[in-house]
Amino acid sequence: MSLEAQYRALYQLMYKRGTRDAFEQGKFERFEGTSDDEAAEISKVAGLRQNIVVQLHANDIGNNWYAPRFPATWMALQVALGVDQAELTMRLTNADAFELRVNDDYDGRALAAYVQQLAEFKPPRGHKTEPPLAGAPWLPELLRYERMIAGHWPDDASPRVERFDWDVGGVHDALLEKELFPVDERPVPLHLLLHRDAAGVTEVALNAEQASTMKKLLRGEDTKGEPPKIVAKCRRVLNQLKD
Amino acid sequence: MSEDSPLKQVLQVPLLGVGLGIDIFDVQPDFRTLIRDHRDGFDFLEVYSRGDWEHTDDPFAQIPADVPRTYHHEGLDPVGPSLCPDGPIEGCIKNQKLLSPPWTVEELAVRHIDGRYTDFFFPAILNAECVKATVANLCELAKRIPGPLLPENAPYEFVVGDMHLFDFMNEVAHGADCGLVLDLGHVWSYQLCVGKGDQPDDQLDKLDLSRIIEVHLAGARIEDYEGGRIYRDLHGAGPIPEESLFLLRQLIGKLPNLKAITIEVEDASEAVAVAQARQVREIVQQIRPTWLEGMHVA
Repeated sequence: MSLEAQYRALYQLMYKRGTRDAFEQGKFERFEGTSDDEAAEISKVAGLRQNIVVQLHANDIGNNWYAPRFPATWMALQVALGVDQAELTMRLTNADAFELRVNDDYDGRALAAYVQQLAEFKPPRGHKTEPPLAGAPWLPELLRYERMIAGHWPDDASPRVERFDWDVGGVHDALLEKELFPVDERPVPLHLLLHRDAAGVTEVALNAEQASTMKKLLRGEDTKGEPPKIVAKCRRVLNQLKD
Repeated sequence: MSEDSPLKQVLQVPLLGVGLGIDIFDVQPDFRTLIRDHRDGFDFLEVYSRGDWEHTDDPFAQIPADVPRTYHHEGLDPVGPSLCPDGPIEGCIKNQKLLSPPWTVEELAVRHIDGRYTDFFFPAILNAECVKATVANLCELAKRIPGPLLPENAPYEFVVGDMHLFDFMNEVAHGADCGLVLDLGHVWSYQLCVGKGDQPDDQLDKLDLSRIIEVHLAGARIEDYEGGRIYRDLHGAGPIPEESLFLLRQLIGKLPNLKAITIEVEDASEAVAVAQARQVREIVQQIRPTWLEGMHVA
């Protein structure tokens, strides 16, 4: 008898659709480590009521964890995959990526791993399945942008220059302000100077030349070869950020 | 650390009255506004910090010393297979030191399974094995945490186990020699799971009512589906269900050791929060006026 195994079984029933469906279809009779009695008790749980509870919690996870923190990504994923929020959450929780979360995935690392998994999907040989993010190749970068403006950075370097392969600022605005799902986007690099302090994250858009000069300034490198006007402007921006 | 059992410790606490359960991180209701503008609307605050102990110094310091308070912790996972990690225990100790509450409330639920955070309180599995683990966890926690813990029945959306909730609560309370918080909405949530939704007080006579030190009420929403109903906690974002108020009327005269009634009002406006407290106070006034008078004597 193992209480641990019983809680694990419930965890699987709540978050792992593949396991839940297999259990309900009788593909296996008991969860690992449970006794006959425990298996019988757990089998009483699986069914209509539990499926409805799973749906309710899937919406809770969407509404409480992801929609407020990464709103553009969360919305775009639903459109790109052609699913509603509950379905998206159930796909996410079923993925191994979900197990990477820290607490309520406050920094989006589990979501990022899931999006990456979708981006890297390759149909089996001979199949013509379209990759899930074929219509939204910018999604991984959009999420990286949303995580960065939320202050979830890979290290503490601030200010910093970040290059995004797509105009994720424009995609973000289109999704949230115009409620439009960008189609047929082409990769246009976006360079941002990002600064993080107690008040939050400040972003300043740069062109490629400014970004290059700004990087040198931030690394303390010689900028003698850079156009003086750009160097001056970069210094001014940095001073404003520090103020 | 007190030599007395957790039950003995809470029995020595004076009556607290009708209070509001607030989340210190909520913008609404803002506990500062409640204290400043609605102080006559509640007798005490039950302070919840989402299990956080790293960002509580400032907000806790803003609760004036003359506002009585209890503390609602999260993360001790008392119904888990083994004792929780040190972090939540140390956090509970820290928050207790900051607040000096007469007791600390903790759900009879787990928030982590195999170390992974869940999106809700997984309520206790209702069987003998879970009783044994829970009693062991609570006894160990009592050795480490200075103030007494009051375990609370968690909300149920589906039930696992062959034991009745009230038997489970009795065995836990007697085994760990502690008092209990009885959340009336959560009682109804259990009854909805076991097909007794129309009889919220079904088998209530099983429960050892002398162990109930605090009662909780809160707003809720009911999800209907073909074949049943599911209770969902809304706290202050919804009205208190009539079934919870029915249970209050049934029980209020039968709880010899009741010290506190808390209305959990997270997400309510300040006006709604005090209106819900007034609604509950009126019921108490009608059925057991001496209890409220006892508070003033205390």
